[in-house]
Amino acid sequence: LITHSRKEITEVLYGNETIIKKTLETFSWIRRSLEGCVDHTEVRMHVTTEPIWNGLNQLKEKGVKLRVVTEITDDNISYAKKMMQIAEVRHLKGVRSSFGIADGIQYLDHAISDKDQLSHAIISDVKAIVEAKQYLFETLWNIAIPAEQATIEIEEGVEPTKTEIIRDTKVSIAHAIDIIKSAKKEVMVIWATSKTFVIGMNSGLAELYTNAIHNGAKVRLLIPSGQDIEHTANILKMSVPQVDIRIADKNLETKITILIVDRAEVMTWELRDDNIENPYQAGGLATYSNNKSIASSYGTIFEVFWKQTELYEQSETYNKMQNEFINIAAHELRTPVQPIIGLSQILLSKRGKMEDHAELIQTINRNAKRLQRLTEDILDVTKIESQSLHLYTEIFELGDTISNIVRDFSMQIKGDDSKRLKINYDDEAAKERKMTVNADKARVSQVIIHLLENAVKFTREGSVTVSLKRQENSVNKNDQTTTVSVKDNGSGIDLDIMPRLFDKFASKSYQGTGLGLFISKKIIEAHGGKIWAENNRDKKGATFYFSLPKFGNLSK
Amino acid sequence: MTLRTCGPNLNKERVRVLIIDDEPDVTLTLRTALEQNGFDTDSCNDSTLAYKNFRDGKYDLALLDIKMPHVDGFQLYQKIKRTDRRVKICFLTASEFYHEEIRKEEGFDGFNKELFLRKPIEIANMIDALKTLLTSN
Repeated sequence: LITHSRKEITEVLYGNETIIKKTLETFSWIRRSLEGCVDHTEVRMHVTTEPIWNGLNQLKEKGVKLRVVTEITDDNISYAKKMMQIAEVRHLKGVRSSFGIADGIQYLDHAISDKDQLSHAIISDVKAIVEAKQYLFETLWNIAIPAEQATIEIEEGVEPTKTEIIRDTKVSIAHAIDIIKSAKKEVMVIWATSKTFVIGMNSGLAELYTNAIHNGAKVRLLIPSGQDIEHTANILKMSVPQVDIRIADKNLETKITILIVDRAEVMTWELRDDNIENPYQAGGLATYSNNKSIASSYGTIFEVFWKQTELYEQSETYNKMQNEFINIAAHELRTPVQPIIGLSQILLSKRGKMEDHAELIQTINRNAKRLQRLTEDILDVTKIESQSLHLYTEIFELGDTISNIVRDFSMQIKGDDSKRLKINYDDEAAKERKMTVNADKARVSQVIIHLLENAVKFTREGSVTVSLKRQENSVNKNDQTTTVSVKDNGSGIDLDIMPRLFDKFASKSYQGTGLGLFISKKIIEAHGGKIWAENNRDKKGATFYFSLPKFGNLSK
Repeated sequence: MTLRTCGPNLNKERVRVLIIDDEPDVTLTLRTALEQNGFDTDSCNDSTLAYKNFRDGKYDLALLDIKMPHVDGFQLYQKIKRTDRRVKICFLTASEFYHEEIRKEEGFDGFNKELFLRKPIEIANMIDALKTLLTSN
């Protein structure tokens, strides 16, 4: 400071080298602070002109406080970020001034000609001038915003944000139309109530969404459940099929409608009265914001509700399926009871020999058996669906089991005059080696019996062939799969039923319970195996297969 | 499958009943029970065939199952009403259709509650219900 107590001087400098030399001379004595205001083009010059950049870095190392006001733009952002590493930088839109103040006692003002060359500079240590410039700097500093905020906004391509309240619904709705039309990626709407959505639909929403979709935006609507909602939603779906609509639980009903566009803009409307059909009167106070964090947070809220609706729809479908199951099961259980009750009452009133009533007795017996079978099947389904199907596994010879089942079955068929059918067991493979499996013998037998019954049911004459095969995994010899197939030459599988073949009550036969294949599938899957079926290539009949892993990935 | 006639159908005094149910064991039961109680019966297990072949003036009463493949009991009801207005019609069903609200859900409305009997039904109860229906207007 003592060295500067000489006479106050103001001088004009010319030329790049002179100005840089003088600047570095100043840098050499700065102890406390260097404040600068540079226009947007000069940030680059400061960073890329090596002596100056080095000089600034040395000042930083000496502990000199560096402050810079500039305008950060798309073009200079990378240099501004460098500057931010050594100096405290603030952004001021449109600032056009280039000066610096060293230790509050020297003022340097410069001008740049073309090509980053410093052409003119004024340097002064006149106290009044320095103080005036210091005052100017502080004023600019105070109205500027932190550079960090400015760089984030530039990098995310956000215009300066605004959040406002719009009282006039004409203005707010017009604005909504504008932003939906300008949507590039997505439009998301949470409607306050189903009626609000209907009001919107009556005012030409469909066309607006078409516009957005035409521009490549995805449109998703969340609407609380309500009267006629399915109908109105269908109308929209018909005219604009690309719109993704989800009907949410009625609990989602609120007092605001929320519109989110590209997760960058958000509008909300207060619902005044959804009994008014005029949207300008039904709606009330609106808000608009293009604040990125606000808009993206609303986007997140939308996603959460959207997901939740998925669960709601799933549980609705599940309930519907359960009800359907109960209805069908009730029908199936009651039907065979009618002949049992009716015919036994008739028999009680009849006289004579048993033989005279053979048809009635046989019918009772047949229906009692059917009822027994149904009861077992429905209990099995209930066990499966409540996840309490337990497997009692043992190691046994699958070939022997099949052989026994086929023998018993052939005996039964012989008694049935309506069938001219032969049941074969292709035991070639089983003769060569033991086909042991670790499985629930009773359950696997149940599956084989079911597949056989199924084959016989759809085959009047010809043959049903059961085969057994074992395949080894080429890598791990211990990993073996045993496959059982049941092939018939009957009527084949109806193509309509094929995709639902293993579903509950999919059967086209009015004799079966419609549960056998479903239960079989679940039993095999519980063993870690697979079950499938196909129509035979020669177009005669079908083949059902199931495979079991040797040592099973037993799930239970 | 053809219409199967049980017992003589010549006596005009006897009430003639048509039974349509896809379960042969059910039609056997109903036929036997009704015959024993003095009715004449025809039965059919194929509702499509029954729909095609129903003729005017042959029956006093139709006893219909509801859940049947291809042509259901409600469709048969419409056909019978169109062909022969005199025929009294009664549904006997093992499904939940005897509940009015279930019928509404399924889009079948406007049938009298008394027309619906639930299966299984005791013979005596069925006979009583049919007699009541036959004497009603």
